[in-house]
Amino acid sequence: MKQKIVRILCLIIAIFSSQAMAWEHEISVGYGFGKEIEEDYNNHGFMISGKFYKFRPLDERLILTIDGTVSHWHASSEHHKDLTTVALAPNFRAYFGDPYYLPRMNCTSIRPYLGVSVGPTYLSSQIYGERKQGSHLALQSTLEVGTEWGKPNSSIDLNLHLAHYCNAGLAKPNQGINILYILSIGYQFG
Amino acid sequence: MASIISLFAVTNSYARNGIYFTAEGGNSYPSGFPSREDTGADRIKNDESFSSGRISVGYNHDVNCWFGLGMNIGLGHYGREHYYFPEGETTISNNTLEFLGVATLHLKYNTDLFCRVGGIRLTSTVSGHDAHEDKTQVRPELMLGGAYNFTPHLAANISYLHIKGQEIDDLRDVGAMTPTINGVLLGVQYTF
Repeated sequence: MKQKIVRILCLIIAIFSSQAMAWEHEISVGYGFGKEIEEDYNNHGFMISGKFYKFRPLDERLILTIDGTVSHWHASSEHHKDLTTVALAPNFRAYFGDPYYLPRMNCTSIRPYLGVSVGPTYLSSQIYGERKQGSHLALQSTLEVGTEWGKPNSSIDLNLHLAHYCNAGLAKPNQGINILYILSIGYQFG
Repeated sequence: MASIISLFAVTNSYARNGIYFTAEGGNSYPSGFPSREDTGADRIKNDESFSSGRISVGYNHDVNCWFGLGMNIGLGHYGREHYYFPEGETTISNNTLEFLGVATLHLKYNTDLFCRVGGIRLTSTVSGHDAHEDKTQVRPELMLGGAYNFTPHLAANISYLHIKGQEIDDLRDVGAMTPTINGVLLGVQYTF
């Protein structure tokens, strides 16, 4: 009986300590490429991003983080070939399963997810390729699919995402810029 | 009044947070296209029944045991309109990329009511005789529906959709202007 109580207590401690041991921050690098939609040139470039703040989980499968991103894109158009962006955005990440089930045992687990983020971004140029934006201030929207792999406080994050830059009609013109495929790898810690 | 209150008395025990996929099919009824007289066509035909479909991915977050909020991203095809001229046939098809917010009300007997509303990118493609370049417009969409949860993972749903459009007088304006679309869809939903 005493052993049973001790085991239950250890499990409770493990659950709460594992939750506290879950990653708090992430840094990732990515390479993006793809043809611009309805144009005849390609975009490619690099993106560095970090998850600076992670809120308490919204539910057992949904988390919210504040992400900062710096990226540089190059278009194969004739003019206006380069664009640098700096963005800060809330990112919702939804897991297919309970992301804390196996990590409670401090086991290595695979945690696939879908994610979405929308937030303000600064564009270094109002013209990129054949696309024009009415302002240097725009919105960066991303849709992502990926998986985390590892232990709760130390894991790798692999994902594929799409980035869209526009000003949502707040300025004219509003010709969206799209980076269709961004492959990134990140390290989660904390 | 008592019967309304009783709907909430025992809420849907299958309500859950999670990612879900849906597949829906049914009929859609575009309106606002040019008439046969305006275009000089011999006749106009809408596609046969069950010619519309939609697939989507979404997430539901239950704020409490009665109410959930979430997001739904979908790809839709809402039927085709055919214009028959002596010179040939013109076909207009309507395809969408949808970004919708979702509010769900969990009732008893494993049923839900939901409302999806948001913005969509609607491309009306004109092919055949008088074909011209595709154009995409942003339009608002509203879907109202209900679902029955067979298990915590599997549900069947029925919904009515409305995409706000315009009156189009000339086939050459299709694309720059888009029709109003109403539809009824039946579907299945799988929640992870």
